[in-house]
Amino acid sequence: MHLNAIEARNLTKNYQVYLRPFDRLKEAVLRKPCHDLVEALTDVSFDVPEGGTLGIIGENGAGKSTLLKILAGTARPTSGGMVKRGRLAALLELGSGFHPEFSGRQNIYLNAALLGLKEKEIRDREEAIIAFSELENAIDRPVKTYSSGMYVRLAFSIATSVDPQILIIDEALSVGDQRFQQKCVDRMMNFRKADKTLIICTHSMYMINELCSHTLWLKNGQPCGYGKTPSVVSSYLAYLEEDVSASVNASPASAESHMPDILIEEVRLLDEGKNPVAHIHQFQTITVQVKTRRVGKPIMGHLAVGFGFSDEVQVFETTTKMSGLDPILFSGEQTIELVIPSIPILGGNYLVRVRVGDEHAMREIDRMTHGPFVIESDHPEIGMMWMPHSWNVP
Amino acid sequence: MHIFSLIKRWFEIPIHHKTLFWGFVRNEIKGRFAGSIGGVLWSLLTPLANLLIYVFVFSIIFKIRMKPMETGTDSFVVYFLTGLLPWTAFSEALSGATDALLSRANLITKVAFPLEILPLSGVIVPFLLNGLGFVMFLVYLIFKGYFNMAWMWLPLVVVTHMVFTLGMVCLIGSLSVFLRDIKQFIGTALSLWFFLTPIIYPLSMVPEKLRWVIKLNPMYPFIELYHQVLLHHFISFTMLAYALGLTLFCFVGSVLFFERSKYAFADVL
Repeated sequence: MHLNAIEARNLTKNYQVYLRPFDRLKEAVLRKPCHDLVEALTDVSFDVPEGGTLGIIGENGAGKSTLLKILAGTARPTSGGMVKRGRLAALLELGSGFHPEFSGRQNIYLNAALLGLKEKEIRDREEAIIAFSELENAIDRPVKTYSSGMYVRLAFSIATSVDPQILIIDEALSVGDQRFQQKCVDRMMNFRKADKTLIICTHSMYMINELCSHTLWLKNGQPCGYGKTPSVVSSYLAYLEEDVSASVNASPASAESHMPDILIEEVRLLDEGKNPVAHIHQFQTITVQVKTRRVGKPIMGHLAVGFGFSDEVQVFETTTKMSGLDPILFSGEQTIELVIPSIPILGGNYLVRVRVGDEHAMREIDRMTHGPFVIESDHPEIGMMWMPHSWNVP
Repeated sequence: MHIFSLIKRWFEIPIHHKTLFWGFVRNEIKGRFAGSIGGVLWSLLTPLANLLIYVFVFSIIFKIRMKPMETGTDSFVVYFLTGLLPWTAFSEALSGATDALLSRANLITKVAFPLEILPLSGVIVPFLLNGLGFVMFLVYLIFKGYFNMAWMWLPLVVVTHMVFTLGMVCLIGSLSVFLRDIKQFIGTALSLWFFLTPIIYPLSMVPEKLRWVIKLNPMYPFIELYHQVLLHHFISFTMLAYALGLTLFCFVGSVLFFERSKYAFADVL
């Protein structure tokens, strides 16, 4: 029988907000309510089976952090309950509990003890923790001399080496340089392979898609969707689009100035005769040709090609990974082509977005947007794409 | 039954979470002296400076004379130190208590660990640091010929004193989370409390009409027990019962309060 690692039932959390600290005292003494009630979480239920992965998504202030705090055990639900099976480690904040005056090594001991390890277990893991954090040279220096990146590396190494049955991560990976992020992702992948339970809260749909089989969408503290990841994520994205359409232009333009590991040099749209085109007829055969360049030793990666109105509103996107291909070995200059025999998109102006990612198709390495190109359609229908159809009328 | 398991938990935590507990204690001690050249020496120098000030004012200027019949010693310094060292441990623990939980807000809201560790280490640290001076004082007393079999009561007195302090720290610590004002007046309260405790004067110097005030002071039985055991070489069981009763009352009350309020810490901090 497959047990659930976490069973959450009707979790509800209300915060009493007092305008002045004195009100709290007044209420305690006079037994007269003097507070405003904030419902941070209302009636959230879900199960995570052992070895399962759950993603938690939602806008800022939707109750994600509150839910994680309850799962981690630092906050109590106002009502409802939950069952946990197995050792749980929570990365709600990297490096909370570090003492700045102490060396990295001393902090390993206290921090690992906070996460529930015994002295001997810590001693056994000390070397592995230091090795993973790549801080061999700095480990005996006080952590106040560390850069924020070093700080985070040490914290992540400690938290994941605790080897919990259940790991809860809150946006922890949005830090560190790209190479270390990659190491973290790899470690989480291994974690998942080892049949451990993973709960992730993040704004990166990419990561949710890759790491989580199920997803919970919170909106104003209430579960707005819960189920298999693809359907929840797409309805969440659809919801965001309605909201965001006004601020489309404020998209997170990648301001990174450094050279990516794999560079997308050129994206071209070609017709049947392999000639570049900017005007396309609907149902024409087109080829998206991507030229990439890798400087340095060859690395593995995946490619994604999407069509859309903007970076946010996609009509269609596919990746080499989704198509079941093995990771591509990038080395030197290469050309990759995606052939679409018959493009069903309705008339309008579109963009082609090409992205290259790591071997798990999780971390984006480079992206390029090509276009706009125009699709001309003979069909009068409205929407994004043309579907074959017929009517049966009385 | 519930209350017993609760109390048991407090004494088991330093054993079950050994690494964490001693880690906190070490943090606290090293953090306190980090970057200072004097280090632990400061925990000896500070009471020494206090001692000199009080000896100058009370022994040289006000010319307080000890009556060995009442105090067991004719030396003001010996009488004063017997009360001062235990008092300093208590008052350091209490003034640190306001920050014991507040200053670790980040930890409490982000990491699930037994919160009891915080008041526990907050009591152990000042007792360890002042214990250093206390042991040196005991050695001095032995040289001066004060040693007596009555000293075997000392461990019991120290432990009772510590548990009482733990209760107070626990109460002040968790109250400070809700009432931040405590932090502001704890210093004043402690200095007032110091002068209401027979440390720089023997109880016999207090006008008889006012002695009940001193006797109501919860620190009175503890300081008196130190005086009795170390200098007078006897123990009054009434005094011991008074101290034990106070300790029990204070500790159980505080533990219950802590237990009820600890789940709200993360919400308030």
